[in-house]
Amino acid sequence: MLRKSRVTLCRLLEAVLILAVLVLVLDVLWGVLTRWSGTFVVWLSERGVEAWNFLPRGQNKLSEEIARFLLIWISLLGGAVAFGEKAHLGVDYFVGKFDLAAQKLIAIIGQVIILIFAVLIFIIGGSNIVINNMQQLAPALGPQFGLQMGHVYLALPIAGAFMIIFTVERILELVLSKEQGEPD
Amino acid sequence: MGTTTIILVLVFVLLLVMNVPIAVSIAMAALVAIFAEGIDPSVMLATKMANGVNSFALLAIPFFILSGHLMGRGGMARRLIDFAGSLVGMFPGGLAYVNTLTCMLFGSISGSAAAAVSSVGGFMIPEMNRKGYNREFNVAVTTTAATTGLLIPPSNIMIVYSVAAGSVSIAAMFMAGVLPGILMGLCIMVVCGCFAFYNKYGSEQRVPFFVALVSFKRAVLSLMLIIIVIGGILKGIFTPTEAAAIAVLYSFILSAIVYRQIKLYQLPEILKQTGITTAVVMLLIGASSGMSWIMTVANIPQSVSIALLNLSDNPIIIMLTINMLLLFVGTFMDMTPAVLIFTPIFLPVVKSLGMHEVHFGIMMIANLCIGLCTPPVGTCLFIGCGVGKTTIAKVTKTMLPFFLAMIIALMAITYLPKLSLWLPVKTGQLKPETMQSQVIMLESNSS
Repeated sequence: MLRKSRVTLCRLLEAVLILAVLVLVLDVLWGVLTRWSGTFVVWLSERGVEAWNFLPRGQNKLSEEIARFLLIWISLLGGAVAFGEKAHLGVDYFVGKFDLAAQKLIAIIGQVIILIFAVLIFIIGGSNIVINNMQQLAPALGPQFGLQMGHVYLALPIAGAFMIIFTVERILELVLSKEQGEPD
Repeated sequence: MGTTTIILVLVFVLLLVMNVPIAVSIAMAALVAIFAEGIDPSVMLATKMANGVNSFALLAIPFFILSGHLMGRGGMARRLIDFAGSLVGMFPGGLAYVNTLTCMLFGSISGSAAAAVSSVGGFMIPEMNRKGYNREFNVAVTTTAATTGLLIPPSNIMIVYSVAAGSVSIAAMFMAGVLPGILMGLCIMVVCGCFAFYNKYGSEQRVPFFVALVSFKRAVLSLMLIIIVIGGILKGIFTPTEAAAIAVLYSFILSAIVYRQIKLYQLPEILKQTGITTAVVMLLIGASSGMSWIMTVANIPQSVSIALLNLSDNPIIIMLTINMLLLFVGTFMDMTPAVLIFTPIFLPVVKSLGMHEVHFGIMMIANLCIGLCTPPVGTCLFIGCGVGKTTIAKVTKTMLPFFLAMIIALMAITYLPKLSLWLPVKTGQLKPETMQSQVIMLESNSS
C-alpha cells in the first residue's frame, strides 16, 4: 500500500517534470516567433502596411517570465527526482578508502545531512518565502493572471517533501540491509 | 582568516569527503557559515536556491542538453566518423586523427564530453583495437579528445561560467573558446603522430573524392547545428537562449523526421533525463549563489587575493599558482561545481592583474578539461576505460604524454590572451580596447 502510493507519487512527479521541460521548449520557441513577428509588424507599419491581426506582436515579457518560472520548477522538482535516482554529483573517492562497515555508517550520516538540508532550506525556508510572497504579484504574469510570487516558490516545499520521502526511504534501505556496505 | 571562513571551508571539505552530493555540501557549508554570522540561514538559502536559477541566460542549458540528447542518439557518431575519415584517415596512424577530429565535432554538437567518449569511443576504440593500435593508446586518445568539445561552442559550461562570473557575455565566451579548443585538439593530434611514428601504425586508404563528398553530405546536417547556433548568435538573429531553443527544434526535426532515429514514445524518457541533468546543474548553481554570497560577506575573495599577491608580485607566477590549484581540484572534482566554487574566488585576483574575464573563463575551462581525464576521479577517464575494457592503472602511463600536450596547450592559453580574445574582438563580441589592456598586462609581465 505504502509502496504503491510512493510509486504513484513518483510517476506524478516525473510526469510534471516531463511536461515542464516540454512546455519550456515550446514557450521559448513561441517567444522567438513572436519577437520575429513583432519586428516584422513594425517593419511593415514603417512602410505604411497594416499587418494581419493574427500576427502576434511581441509579448516577449510574458513568455520570458513563464520560461524563468518553469526553470525554477524544473530545477527544484528535478533536483528531488535526482536524489531518488542518485544522479547528484559527489566525490566518492575518499569514502572508498574505508572498510565496508564504515562506508555504510558514512552513507547513513550523509543521508541524514541531506534530510537536514531538505527540512531546513526547502521546507522551513521554502514555506516562509511562500508565505512572505503571497501578496507579491509576479511582474508580467501577476497583473494578467493573478499569479503571486508565492505560487512560484511553492516548488521549494513540494520538492523538499519529495526529497524527504526519497531520503527516508534510502536511510531505511541502508539500516535494514543485511549485507555490509552500500547496496547499489 | 575569520571564523566564518574556517567554518565554511571545514564543513564543506568534511561533507565532500563523506560523499555527500556537492550541491548539498555547498548549501550546508553556507548554511552553517551564515548562521555563524548571526543571520537566519534557511530563508536566505531558500531564496538563493530559487532565485539563483531565475535567469533567462541559464535557460540555454536545458535546451543544449536536450538537443545534445536528440542529436547524440542514433547515427550522428557514425556519420561524423565517416566524414572525419575522409579528411584525415590517409595519414599514418589515421584512425587516431579520425578519432580526435570526430570527438571535437561530436563534443561540440552534443555539448557533452561524456557522451563523446561513449558514442565516438564505442565505434572507434574497437575499430582501432582491430587494426592493431595499442588498446590503452586508443582509450587515451578518445578520453582526452572528447574534452575539447567543451571549449568548442556551443558549450554549457561557458554559460555556467558567465553566470558565476556575473554577466559575462555568453556570445563572447563561445567565440573565445574556438581557437583554444582547436589548439587543444591539435596538441593531442601531435601526440598521436608521435605514437603512430614510433609504433609504425598504418594508414587508411585515401578516400576517392566523390565518396568524401557523399560522407560530407551525410554529416553536413549535423554540422549545420553549430553553424545555426553560432551564426545566429553572431548575426544577432537570436540570443544564446533562443539559439538553444532553435537547436532543440532543429535536432528534433533532424533525428525524428529526417533520420527517423528517435521514436515519439522515446521522447518522455529523453525529456525526463534532460530535466534531471538540468536540475543537477541548477541545484549546484542555486547552492553556489548562496555560498558566494556568504563568501563575499566574509571577505574570502579579498583574503585569497591578498594571500596570492603576497606570494609573488609576478603575474606569471600567480597565474601558474592558480593553474596548479585548479589542476589539483580538477583531479577529484567535476567541472561544473569547480567552476561555480572557484570563479568567485579567483576572478577578483586575476582581474586586479588586468586579465580579461573571458580569457580567465577559457583558461579555467581548459584547465578543468584535464581534470576530467585524470585519476582518481575523472568522468571521461572512467567512461573511456569502460568502453575500452581496460583499467585506469593501465591507461594512466599512456595518458602521460597526452596530459603533457594538454598542459602545453593550457600554458599557451594562459599566457597568450590573444588566443582567446582575438576571435571575439574580430567578430565584434568584445571591444577592441580589451586587447590593448591585455597587451599592457603582457608588457608589465616582461618588464
